[in-house]
Amino acid sequence: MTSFRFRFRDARVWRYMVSSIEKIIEDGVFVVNDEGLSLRALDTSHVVMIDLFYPKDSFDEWEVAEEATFGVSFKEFSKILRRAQKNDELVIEVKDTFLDVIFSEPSLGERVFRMPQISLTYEKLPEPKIEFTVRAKIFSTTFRDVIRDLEAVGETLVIRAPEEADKLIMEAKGDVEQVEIELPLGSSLIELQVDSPDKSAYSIDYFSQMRAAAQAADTVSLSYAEYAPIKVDMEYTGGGRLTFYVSPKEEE
Amino acid sequence: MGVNLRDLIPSEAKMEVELKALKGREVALDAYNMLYQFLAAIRQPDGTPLMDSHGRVTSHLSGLFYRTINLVEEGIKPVFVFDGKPPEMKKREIEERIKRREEAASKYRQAVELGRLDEARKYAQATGRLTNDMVEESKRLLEAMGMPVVQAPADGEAQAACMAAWGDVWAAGSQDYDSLLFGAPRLVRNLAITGRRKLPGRDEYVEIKPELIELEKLLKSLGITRDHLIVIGILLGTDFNPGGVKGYGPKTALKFVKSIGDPLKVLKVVPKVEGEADPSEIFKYFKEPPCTKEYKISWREPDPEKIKTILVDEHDFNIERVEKGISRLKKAYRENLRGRISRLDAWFKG
Repeated sequence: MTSFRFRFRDARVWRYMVSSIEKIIEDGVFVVNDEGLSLRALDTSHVVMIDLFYPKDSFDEWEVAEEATFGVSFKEFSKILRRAQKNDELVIEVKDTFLDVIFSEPSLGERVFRMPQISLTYEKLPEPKIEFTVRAKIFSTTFRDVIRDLEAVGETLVIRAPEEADKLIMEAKGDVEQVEIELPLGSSLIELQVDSPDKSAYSIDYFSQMRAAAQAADTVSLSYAEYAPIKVDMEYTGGGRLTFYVSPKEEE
Repeated sequence: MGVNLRDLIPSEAKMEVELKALKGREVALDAYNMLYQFLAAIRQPDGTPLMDSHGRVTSHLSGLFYRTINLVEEGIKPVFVFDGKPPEMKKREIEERIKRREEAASKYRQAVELGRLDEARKYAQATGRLTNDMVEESKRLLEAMGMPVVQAPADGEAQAACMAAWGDVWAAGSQDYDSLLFGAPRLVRNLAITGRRKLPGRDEYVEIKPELIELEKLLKSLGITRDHLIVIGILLGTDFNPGGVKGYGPKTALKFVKSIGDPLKVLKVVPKVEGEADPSEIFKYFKEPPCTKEYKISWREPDPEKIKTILVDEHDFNIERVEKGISRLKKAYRENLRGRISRLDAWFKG
């Protein structure tokens, strides 16, 4: 019988992260150990993989004696986390077959939600091996605005970096409209590294699903290569990171 | 009808899945099987099928149109495989089907006369008949929708299984288990009826989900080979020997086949296979069904005018509903059929 407990400063960060994860993946197994908390899961169609890691230092309390796992249905987990309010801290306590999701706010006291763990066999997924040729970092607000612009028009996002390596271009084409968004280095783009001026395409749907997670993030890093998956890293205050790998889409 | 392996399949070999779990997968659908399911299910409360102003049945077109849109919206890539000439061996089964339909039709008329609606609906469901015209217009509709249509030399189900075995599609889609005997590595059931369904004769509903059966898992969990499975099928009864062999149920057949080992030997020692077909011929038919490699699997942009000609002009479908369907189909085509989304698996191997 394992039991453990950890406390996180801002419950809303979890609310937003899980609200994105829920749209992509049904259930998953979190692992807690000496390093921190991690989760790796693949959607049923094998197009998206999520990879979450929070170092133990990013928690205010970390009572984990030995490596343990807990499985959740993201739909159920998200339902509860949606109750997170401003100033709420989040405590997760795992005992036996259930887990308590506790929101605590000094002036309001504690609200304890109990939900069942689901038993899933845990198998560690490998990390996709991709040689990225373009790497960029943008503010999360920029990321969300760009996705909103793109999804208004089309279903496929095309991302490309010109030879000069001074900007990143994202575009989408619909039946009649199209949109091209330029992200110049120094303003919208925080960092850009171009090994080869590559272009790649992805389904916008998955990016729309990431928008919630970006809401709580500080910055978003994008790494991709031609005809290869894109890696979208959401970086959170305190050192946490939620990564999405999305398979490429080939237009005929 | 097909062979009934239902009670033979252990729970670990079948999996209830969500439609979206099949996203990006090509599935070769047994079109006749699907059309019959639409004919049975899409009816008015008293069992009358949908009809146009000339009294021609349109249940199959309605089912085909809306169900295909559903599947494509979920990201499934359907390929429709149509039956060719039925093999000589199937004659008896076909005659029996006609007889069953005629019986059902007369019971239906009786029930209507007596005003028993529930009963009428039940019998009506068994009267569905596919005419050549209905098959041809189904193909025309699918082609107008941009769906690939494959013409099988004989059994559509066999052809779909071959295509899955060759790796040209991911799975065969049918309600019958014969696909497994024909060698389909994966069979997806319930695709024509996924969703909320009314239970027959009751005012209750159930949620039906697609069911995925993997041949290798099935054989492994039963501890047999595909040859054994075919023999078990023959013992239980196939379309070629509908009665099967007296005295054999799923359990006894499995035990018997396993105890003898050599599948062909089983057929020799079996007391009497009902029907005129030679059991070893039936075996050969399942083992090496007639299949063609003459087909092309590709999806095209839907043609709204052609769709409207068939559904609205020829068969009096409501134009607004059809147009709504077409715009859903166009969107789903752009999202899920045009362009290919690869899977991450290729990058795990590295």
